[in-house]
Amino acid sequence: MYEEATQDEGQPQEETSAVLLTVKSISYSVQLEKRVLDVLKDISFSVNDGQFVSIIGPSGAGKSTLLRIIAGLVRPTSGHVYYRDQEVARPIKNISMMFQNYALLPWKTALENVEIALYSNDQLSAKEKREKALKALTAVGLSGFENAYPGELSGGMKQRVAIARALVLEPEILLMDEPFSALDPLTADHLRNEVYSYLINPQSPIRSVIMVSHNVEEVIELSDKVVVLSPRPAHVVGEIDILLNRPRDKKSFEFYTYVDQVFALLT
Amino acid sequence: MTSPLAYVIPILVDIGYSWWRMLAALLLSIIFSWAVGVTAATNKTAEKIILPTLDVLQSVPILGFFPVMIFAIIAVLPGKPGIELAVVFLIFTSMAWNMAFAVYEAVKAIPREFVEMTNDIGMSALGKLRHLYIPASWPKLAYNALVSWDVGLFFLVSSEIITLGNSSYSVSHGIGVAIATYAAQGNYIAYSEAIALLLVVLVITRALFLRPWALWSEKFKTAEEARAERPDVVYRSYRWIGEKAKAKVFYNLQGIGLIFKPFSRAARSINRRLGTRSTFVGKLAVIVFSLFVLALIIHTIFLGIVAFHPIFQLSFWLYLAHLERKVIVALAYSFIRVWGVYAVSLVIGVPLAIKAALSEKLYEPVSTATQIISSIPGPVLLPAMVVALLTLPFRGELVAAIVIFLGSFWYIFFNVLGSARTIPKPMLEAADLYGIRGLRRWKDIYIPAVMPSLVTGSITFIGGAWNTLMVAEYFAVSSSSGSVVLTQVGQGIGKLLDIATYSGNLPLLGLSIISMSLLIVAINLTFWRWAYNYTTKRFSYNV
Repeated sequence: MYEEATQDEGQPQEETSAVLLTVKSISYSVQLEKRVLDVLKDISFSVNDGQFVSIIGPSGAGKSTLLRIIAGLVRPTSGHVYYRDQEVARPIKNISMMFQNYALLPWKTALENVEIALYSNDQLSAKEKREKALKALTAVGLSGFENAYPGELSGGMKQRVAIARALVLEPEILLMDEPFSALDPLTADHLRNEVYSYLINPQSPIRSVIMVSHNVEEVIELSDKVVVLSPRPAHVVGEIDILLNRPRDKKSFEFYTYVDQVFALLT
Repeated sequence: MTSPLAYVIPILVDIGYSWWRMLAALLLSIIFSWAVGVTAATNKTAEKIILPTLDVLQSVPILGFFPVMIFAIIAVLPGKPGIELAVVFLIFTSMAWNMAFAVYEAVKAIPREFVEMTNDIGMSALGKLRHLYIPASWPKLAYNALVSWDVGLFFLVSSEIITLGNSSYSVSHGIGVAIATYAAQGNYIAYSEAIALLLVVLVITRALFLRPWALWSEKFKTAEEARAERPDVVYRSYRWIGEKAKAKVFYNLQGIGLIFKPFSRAARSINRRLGTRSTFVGKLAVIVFSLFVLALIIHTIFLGIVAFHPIFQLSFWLYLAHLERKVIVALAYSFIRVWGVYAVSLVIGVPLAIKAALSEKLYEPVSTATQIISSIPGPVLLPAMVVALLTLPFRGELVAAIVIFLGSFWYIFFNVLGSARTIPKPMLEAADLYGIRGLRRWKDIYIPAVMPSLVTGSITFIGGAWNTLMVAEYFAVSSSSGSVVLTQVGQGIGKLLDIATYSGNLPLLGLSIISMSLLIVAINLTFWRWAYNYTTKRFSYNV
């Protein structure tokens, strides 16, 4: 039902679908005043086309740093990230990121917040940019709110603006850093499946999602694969493939079997 | 006798001249702040150079440097444009450093995710400046401009008055010029009109420009900031300035450490060889010594421009030593003056501010009135005071005390007012419940609650007070019969600076500025540092 990965080898792959992203022996350490602090240690895993992969681990384990390394925002101390065959050394167009608190500029409207992702695109006219941004907002069910400022939107709506901004660049891989932690638990519970449907659908450009979270149930509800990290320095203690049909019944026995497995790895 | 109304237009024209200088300086300050603040906040190497530099610039009494600045600028750009530029530059130096820190802090405080987001979507450097850094810096920049305007106005009026000492170094129009001229002519109708009109224009400027700007800037706040409950913008800006001053005291250490690393390393090896340990006093001695060396270097360069050769002669150094003795005595007098006024300000300001803050009835009227009064630049009232106090003994001392008071009192008042306003309700309710009232209530509740803000305000008070001395201790206006000294104190560093300026005694000018800066920095590093550490540890209720 699931496979445990060996630490140094990455994990066995099903050969049926193409690998979209490879994380290869990533280590990351920071230089403190007197000593070197190892944050990530030799982390490897890969993401297949069409997969929703979650990274889970105790808080402070460096999950967010790992995600930033995958995004090309932070350089690892050693190791590589490959998108298809291309090494990710800086942010690339095909990988986009959704930040924990959404990073919406409070002085720009919902529409402008989506549009800024297109500012550096010289091939589009101003009008085309606007249309694209509008389309992205509509896709996440926010048409009619394009002139609202982030401060006027609910937490769930802000999240959707952030999704729209990530979608408008038409990336193949979306990285999400604790996407539901800024929401209250009830709203988050309600929105998970909705977010999944915005991301993974025939119209969506997104093929794979990598989500960082510390919420076990959330991770099991959404993921095809869970990568479990140890406390600092973080390394992969296990990978679990979740083979449940969607939408998933959180009260089912199978669901809880997975929850127990993840908890067993975490503790 | 001309009709009283005849002065209105000329006065308005004069105010127009002054306002153009203020606006030019403000605009210059904003551009400077963006350039320097954003660079420092986004580039680690630049940060290491810019912060200490800004800090040193901020710690020195700028007004003292004004004469030197005029000499330098006029040497490059002679005539009226040069003087105009010098005045604008002086106002700029009184506004810009704080504003640059404001931008630096605002950009530094941008949540990391925002910067990462702009990187993730591939935004260009210019795009980041336009869409992220500049908008994010608006709130702090605008609040800061409120206080900067007050400070700048003080410098504007002072510079317009100071330059009058020597006609070849003076602007011909400006509200400071008008006030000084009318006072010298004994034309007290025109003089009063000038002050009244200045006040009107000031209130209008605040109401129609500075305040709306500060309120508009609120929309550039990130959500977390906006949620917190906030007192009026003016207190916020004063408090913020105070916080800066406080931070400055610490930053001084780092900045100086950075500049004088070689010196302190040398000192450490000397200490080691002598077998002594590096104590706080030892470190201080090194700092003071290093500053003295720097002062000498600056002074030498400074003298080199004017007179190259004398520095090689012993007699020149003996002359310097003689001057320094005078400077030290003057500093001692000024020190007592500044701290005396500080004591009086504490006795008046603290109870008044606490009373006003805690009373719903008093709060609104008192805060409105004090905001207006606080924006009057003290030097414009000098001539009136001189006349009003004509028959009193120690007139010079009294005038000086009042000018220092008017220039600096507000730092204490607004800081305490803002902090007393935010004393947690439960604390007051608990005090009611246990029947703590009267003197005990002040001693056990109010004073400790405002203590950290009081120290903040005090540091700014003292810093500001030294700056006002140049106007407070000696005031001369030119009239047809030459320069007339309207008021002066017996001895004082401000007076010495003025006299050195008017008589063109550059060694004395240099020594005075350097010695004064040294004293201020030394007190910052010792007393205020201790006071700040002690009060934040002891009196902070949000631990």
